[in-house]
Amino acid sequence: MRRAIFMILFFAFMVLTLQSCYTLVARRSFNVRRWIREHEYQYIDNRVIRDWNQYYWRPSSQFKKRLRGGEETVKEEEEFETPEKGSIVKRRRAEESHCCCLESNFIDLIINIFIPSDNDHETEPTDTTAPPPNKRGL
Amino acid sequence: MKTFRLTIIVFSLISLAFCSDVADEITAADGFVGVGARAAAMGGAHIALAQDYSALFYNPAMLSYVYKYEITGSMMFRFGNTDSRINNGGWIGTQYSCVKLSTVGAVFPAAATRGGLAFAIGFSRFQSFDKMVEYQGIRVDNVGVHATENTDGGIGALQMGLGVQTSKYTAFGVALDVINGAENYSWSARLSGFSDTLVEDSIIYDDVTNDYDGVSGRIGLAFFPVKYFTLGLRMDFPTVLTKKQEWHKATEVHFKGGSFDETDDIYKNDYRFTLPFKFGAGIAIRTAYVNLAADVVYADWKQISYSSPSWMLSQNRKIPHSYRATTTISAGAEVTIPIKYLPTRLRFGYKYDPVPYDVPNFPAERQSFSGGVAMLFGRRWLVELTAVSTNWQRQERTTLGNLLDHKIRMSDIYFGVSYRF
Repeated sequence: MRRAIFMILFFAFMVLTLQSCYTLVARRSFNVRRWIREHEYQYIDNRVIRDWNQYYWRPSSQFKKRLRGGEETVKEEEEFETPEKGSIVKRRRAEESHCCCLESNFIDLIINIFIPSDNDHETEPTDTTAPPPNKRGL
Repeated sequence: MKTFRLTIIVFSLISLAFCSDVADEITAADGFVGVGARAAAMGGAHIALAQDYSALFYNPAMLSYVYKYEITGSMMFRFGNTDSRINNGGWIGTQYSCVKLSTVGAVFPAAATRGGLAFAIGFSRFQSFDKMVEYQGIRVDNVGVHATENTDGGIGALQMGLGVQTSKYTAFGVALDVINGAENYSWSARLSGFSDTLVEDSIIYDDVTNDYDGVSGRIGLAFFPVKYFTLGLRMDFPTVLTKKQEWHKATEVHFKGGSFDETDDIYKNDYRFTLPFKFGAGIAIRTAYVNLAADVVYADWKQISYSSPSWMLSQNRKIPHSYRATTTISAGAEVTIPIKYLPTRLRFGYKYDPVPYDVPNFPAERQSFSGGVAMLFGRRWLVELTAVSTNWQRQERTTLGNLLDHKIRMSDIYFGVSYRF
């Protein structure tokens, strides 16, 4: 039963891993304005929670620094500016992204942990006598 | 001396009579505490709301909504108060306190231009056994008892995992726990008033050290159909735990003639057992001023099973009669206070947390009320303070047939600091 559950989980995991190619990881440059355009549907933009949005819903300022050919640093205040309606953002998925697939070794690790193999010869722990009951004398 | 041995034999027979149909308590199945100050303040309702390092514990899929590097840490301060009584006698109060590391970790997001991907690693302490109880009263055989029970320790895990957005409205995450923990238990009891024996009094010391090691993991899903609503699902894999136990047992018996006898024994055992699957679901509703969240977590503790040592396998037959399935319900709210130069949020939470034991008259349902405040400094530093108050009662029948009542009140204070860049 447990083996069947883990097989189902494994295939679900594979499907989800492939599906995770939705996420595009920048390889050469990181455009904050484009990022905001792609993610603005996820959060409520409101003056009251502007600082909280900056903390929870803005990309790291380190992204641009780490990638080659990044734009000049955009001031944090500018990051709040939403792109103008109707502006065109070029999408170059093939050049600036790759799939974030997980290595199969990790999956093997998970499976091996929870499904004992017939070849496993684990050392049995010390088997001695039962200890006394709790709260002796009471 | 003969009387003492006779007394021990009688005690043993009574113990066997009372122990026959109830499984031993497995402390590793209980004592769960919140991970992270924000989650703790909201009653642990974080399956659909976690958006920081604690997502690794509550729902790794939510890691994918962390877009900045995060370094976080928190401490837990426990102030406990326990009242106990023996056989409906007078109540005896005990106070204790301790300070423990709660979490330390980091989140590393990828520079995703669409969607989100983040990896997290750190340590979380999610179970706490810290407790002290003092007993004073009269046993059913009119022997006086003054005893102190002290438990120190907890279980945590080196956790690592990642979350990735799998479509515009969904995310998936996986986490692996390498569990490590310890439970240091001490019991000291002084028995006096043996009227019909040669024993003047007796002193009992038990020092038990349990070292836990194990592995577990979880997967999570998040659905983000609109910005105002999130649905989260989580499944915890069975936790495989090894408990290395060293039990030092010492007994001093003082006889009325002035002589005394003392015995020392050491028991060493390695136990291996498996805790069951856990299934959790949560929703979060977001508005500009208020975030609301609620979680339900189900676990069937009747599926706990020992795999070693061999003489513990008989416990597996008793566990279904001594444990039960539990549904933990938690809810929380987070309110934004519009302070111009000091962004502040107030948090409130409630948790209904049934204990897993199902011994008759044993458990009362455990409830926690929580509240906290979070302040943001310079849009990068988040300072959080949380207070969690837990109250519950329990009743147990000891192996010698004595009835113990406990009123347990615990106040856990969390102080956390996070930095994002």
